[in-house]
Amino acid sequence: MSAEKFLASLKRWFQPGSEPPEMGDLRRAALERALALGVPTPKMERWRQSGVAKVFEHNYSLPKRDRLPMSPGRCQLDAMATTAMHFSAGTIESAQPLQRLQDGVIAGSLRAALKEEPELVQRLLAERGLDKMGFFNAVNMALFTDGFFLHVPKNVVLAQPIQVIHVLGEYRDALENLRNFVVLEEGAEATLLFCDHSSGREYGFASSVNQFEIGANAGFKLYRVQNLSDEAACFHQDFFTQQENSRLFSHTIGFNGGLLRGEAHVDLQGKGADCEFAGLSLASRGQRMENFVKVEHQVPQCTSREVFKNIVDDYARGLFNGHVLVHPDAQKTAAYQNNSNIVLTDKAKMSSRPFLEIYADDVKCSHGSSVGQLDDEALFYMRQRGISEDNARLLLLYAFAADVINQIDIEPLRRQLDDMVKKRLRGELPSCEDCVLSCSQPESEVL
Amino acid sequence: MLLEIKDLCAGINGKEILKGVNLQINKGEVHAIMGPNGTGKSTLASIIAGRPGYDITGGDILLDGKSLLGMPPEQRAQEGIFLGFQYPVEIPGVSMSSFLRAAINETRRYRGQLPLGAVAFARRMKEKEEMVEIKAKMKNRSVNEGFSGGEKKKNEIFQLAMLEPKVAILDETDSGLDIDALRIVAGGVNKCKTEENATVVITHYQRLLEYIVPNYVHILYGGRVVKTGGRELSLELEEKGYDWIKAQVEGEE
Repeated sequence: MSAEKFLASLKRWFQPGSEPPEMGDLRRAALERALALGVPTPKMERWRQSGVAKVFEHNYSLPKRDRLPMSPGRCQLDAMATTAMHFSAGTIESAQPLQRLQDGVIAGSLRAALKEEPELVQRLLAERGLDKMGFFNAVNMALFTDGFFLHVPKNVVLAQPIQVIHVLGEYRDALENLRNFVVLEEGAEATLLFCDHSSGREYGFASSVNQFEIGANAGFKLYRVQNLSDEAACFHQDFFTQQENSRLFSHTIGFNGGLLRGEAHVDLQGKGADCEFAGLSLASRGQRMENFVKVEHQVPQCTSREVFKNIVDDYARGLFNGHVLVHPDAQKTAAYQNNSNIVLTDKAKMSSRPFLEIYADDVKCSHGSSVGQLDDEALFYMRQRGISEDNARLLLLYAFAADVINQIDIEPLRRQLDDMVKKRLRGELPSCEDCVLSCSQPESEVL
Repeated sequence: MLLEIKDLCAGINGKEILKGVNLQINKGEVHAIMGPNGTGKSTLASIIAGRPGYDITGGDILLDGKSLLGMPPEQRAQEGIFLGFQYPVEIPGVSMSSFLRAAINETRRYRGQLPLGAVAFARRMKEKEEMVEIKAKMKNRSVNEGFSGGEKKKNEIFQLAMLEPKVAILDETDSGLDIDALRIVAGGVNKCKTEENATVVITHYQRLLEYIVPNYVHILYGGRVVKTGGRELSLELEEKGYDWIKAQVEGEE
């Protein structure tokens, strides 16, 4: 398989099916767009140092639409009273109808929403315009099978976080495209937890495009937990638009995965909007973990903060590519960007590219990046007190990771993920057994 | 004999620093090692503790008759060597309690003892705080992070009390302390002394030795112990400086 073959296969994979004709047109146009663009190459700024080429090496098969979702196993996060929705084989449609929650909140399958709320969903789908779509976004538009849809009306506060679990199919060379939509109208508030998991040891590629519209004074929190097999590739593109005084908090932990790439594109359109990103990637063996964040400050008085941390072990590779763009009108912008990394071996690699591009003159922007090893002096100090080298390293790595974990403000989730990080650092977190979250025993000590 | 250093020769990056150090330390004793700057005092302490990076070119270090040289630093600590650092290290994010519990319990495991539970650990902490009259800054504070120089040194002594080593080597524990802190630190060290352990104090100044009274004073110069005496030797140094020692050594050579 090569890039050319991948492009040729796109046409074969394209099957609009029983959708409204407008939808079929949109998909067809997206397909044309993808074919015209061609596959991305590492020469493009957005894709520099990326390991994405790997996904073109496979001969994919698409999920069968009639395939029933498998059960990903019990998720112990039930303890935090989430509403869990399981995606598998690219669809939840057959398993879960669209749910009408409190106060007019709609949540559930995007395909179901397309049927029940065709105008709203089609408007959203068409909104961003094909001309801005990159290759994977266009492919996703042409091929997506389903996704999660959430609409929170004006001034409604979602009572409970919703957990959305996506399990990459267990058949070989699965290609799954999901499209998720979240619309928070003015003053609305919601918290989502996206869990990515794979069910087998076969190679598969999950690609998701996620559109988050955050209205004026609305507040959105997005947690993401990724724990896939070393064979799996998973690529997220998050597109956030934020209106006046809205708040966004996005928190991601990458535990395992052959290729995990997360992209966040933030458009700060309303005065006083605030966004915060926290990310922790724990890469070992041959894993590649990539974070790309582009924040556009379009208007005055917005704030953005990014803290991404990577621990890169064995021969794994990490990548941070952060770009803050402050437009001429965006006076009084405050932007902070930080990427710190620990590289544990000679063969592990980390590329860090923080970047500020500023066209306004009254702004407060700063960025920082560090790539280092564990502090030898601290290691010796700990060993001198009788702590073995392995455990001293573990304590230091956990300390490095802890402040990202501590930013999780749902306590049961924080405890679960804290335990998973400890296990991951000890090398005890299986990348592919039962449900990702069923292997946690909170409150255990790091050693 | 508790700790025996025999003809120890060592260096770093091809530079010879210790040129045949001999020391014999028995249980219940306090030894002071003095000497001008750059004569290898801190190097000696580091090498006993097993700090990586030094080349040992000759001699041996025996604790209770067992050679330490092949052991990693953690094993030396578990065998009973404690080094009070001249510059205690800040470890952001690692809490004092998880650090000390790990240290104590790994040592206990090495010695075939059951680990201390949370309650026993808390009890031991309280006991030791009372004993050395140093309040540990434990609760959720990172190891030494944001501590003043004096607080860091007090924290070293608190750790010494908690870990109960056979040999405590205190590397310029008095440096950077005001007179009140010096008194507290020295008091803590004295409280940790028993008939079964030994203390080695490395210092420039006689002042510390007014509080921690040594049985023996050794002068390290040019990578060797050139003179050993009783407490009066430190008083003599205080009065006359090191020049007469240098002259004496060079005269012999």
